[in-house]
Amino acid sequence: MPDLVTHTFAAYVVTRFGPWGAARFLFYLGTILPDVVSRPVYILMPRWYEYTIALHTPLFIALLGLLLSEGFAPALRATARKALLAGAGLHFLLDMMQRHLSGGYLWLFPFSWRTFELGWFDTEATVGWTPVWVVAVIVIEISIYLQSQRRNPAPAKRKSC
Amino acid sequence: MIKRLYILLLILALAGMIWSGKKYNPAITLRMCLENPQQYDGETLFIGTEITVRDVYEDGFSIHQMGHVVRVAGHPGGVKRGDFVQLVAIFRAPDHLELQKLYVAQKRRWKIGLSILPLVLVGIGLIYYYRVNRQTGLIEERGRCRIS
Repeated sequence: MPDLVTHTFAAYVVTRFGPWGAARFLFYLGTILPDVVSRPVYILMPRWYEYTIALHTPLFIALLGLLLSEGFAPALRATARKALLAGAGLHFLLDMMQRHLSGGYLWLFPFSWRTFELGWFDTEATVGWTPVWVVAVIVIEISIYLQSQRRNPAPAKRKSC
Repeated sequence: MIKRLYILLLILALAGMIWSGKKYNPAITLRMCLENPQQYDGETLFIGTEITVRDVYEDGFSIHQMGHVVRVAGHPGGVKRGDFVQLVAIFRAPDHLELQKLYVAQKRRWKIGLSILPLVLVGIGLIYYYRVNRQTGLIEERGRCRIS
């Protein structure tokens, strides 16, 4: 996997200028979900590794996304489902670009044990780029804030609720 | 009723996949080799889960994985004690490996440490925008006080 900063930055770029609103945080959750459910287990409890094989596979994460979205209020459920699944899809897209000695991830688990990857970069190659992603987010957010200030100069504020 | 059945089916499917991953994994692991050395003598295995270098020698190095320490024969390259590595190696009974390919994950500790930052930020964002309705037990968007 690329590091989670890179995964989240990719999700940020995809959602920041779209119609996602608050749901972009659900997209971010979807994008970190495959690593959040699998990595801590085998980093902290490596003996349980064999139980984590399914956890970082597209079908498992899709089903988990469907399960998690059932925890949302009906009006929000479809949005949550869409955001979680799209975010997870982006995660796997980035993962597919990596190069492993093992040949990659189990995309078709549990139907096949074949692995595949594009092999464009090593698993730790993105770590050096994380300061660039962080600075980019800060610059984009400041630009958006300044633009909104220019468009709507702050009037005397009044609470409406 | 249908919703409960749907949720139950999802949970069963997830549990089934976890079990299936454990039961039918065709990969040969280091643990399997060490438990039955004669059976796996000469087998090529990929070892990539949480392996650190224990010691470095002129003609190889030793690795530590899940409580097992195993000697690896082959050019140690630039590995240092404590490095995270992945390797493809041939198992030789009773207890050592012949190195075929080696990858040193030099920034793995950074990678794990840095990954905590987005986790925290996403968590804060989710708490800021969503809340659990105590009556229904479901997650809903927080009503925001509008400033106009």
